[in-house]
Amino acid sequence: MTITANSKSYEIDNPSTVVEFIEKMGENPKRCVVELNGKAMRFEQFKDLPLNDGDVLEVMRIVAGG
Amino acid sequence: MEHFEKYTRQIALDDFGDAGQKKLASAHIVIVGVGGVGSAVLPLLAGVGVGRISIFDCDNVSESNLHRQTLYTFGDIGKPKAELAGRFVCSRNPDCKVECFCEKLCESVADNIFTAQTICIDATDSFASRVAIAKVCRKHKNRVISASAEGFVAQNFLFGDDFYFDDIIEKSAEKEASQGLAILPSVAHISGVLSANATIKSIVWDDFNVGQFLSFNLKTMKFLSGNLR
Repeated sequence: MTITANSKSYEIDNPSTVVEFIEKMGENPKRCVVELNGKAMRFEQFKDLPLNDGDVLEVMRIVAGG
Repeated sequence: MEHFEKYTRQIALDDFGDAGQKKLASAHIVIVGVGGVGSAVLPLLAGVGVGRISIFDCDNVSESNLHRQTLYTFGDIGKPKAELAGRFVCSRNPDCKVECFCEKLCESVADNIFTAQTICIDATDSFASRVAIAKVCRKHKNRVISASAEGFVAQNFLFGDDFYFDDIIEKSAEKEASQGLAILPSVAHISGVLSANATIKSIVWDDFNVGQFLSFNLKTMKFLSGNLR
């Protein structure tokens, strides 16, 4: 299946979750929020969601510096 | 109204007027952290006529702060940020009542100065401090604007109504470091300007959308916003 994440296209062979995909990006999903097909979600809301063909994902790492 | 002469350019805004200025004059802001983000927030809130500002910061100015922390100069190195920031606010707007605390915000102090109308701007520099502030503000049911910056990314989150920073970050991520990371000065200031804007909207128009976030990457110029509640 093909998904778009942070404006780039990715081919994924095996079924995958949002969390697994974020981990493959090298980010910690527990300090990320995402926008999946236009809907903003925090970790509690996306932690169990699978990715589907055609999904459009934006991953945003929460920053804490001041 | 003659007393409001210095604010005429904002009073002239649609739906602002003398009524909006009076709301600002009776508002209380607590700003925790007067580093890069706080340096951008304070001049705006003092200038706009916020009546009372309480400033918390336990750090002293260091040389590596100066590129982005524009409240301070080389002569301030080694001096406490909260006191210097307080002096700056007084000079920028003598009508503003200022309180300075050279310490972290803790529950016992908050109990004495917070009311339910107090708005807290969290401009601190770690996940741990943001979680601690969330705990205090949840108790007092305050609106919180969490303003942060790192690298090229400026972010703002709006909290309140029993929805706070510890609701968007998992416990195991709270200990991750943010202090001492690379940051572009303009990015810290964008975060501060956004939080000043959110504060003014909350006070003047009661416009405060709990759960709303804004994230702006100033390298890619990519902007993301939504609601996490």
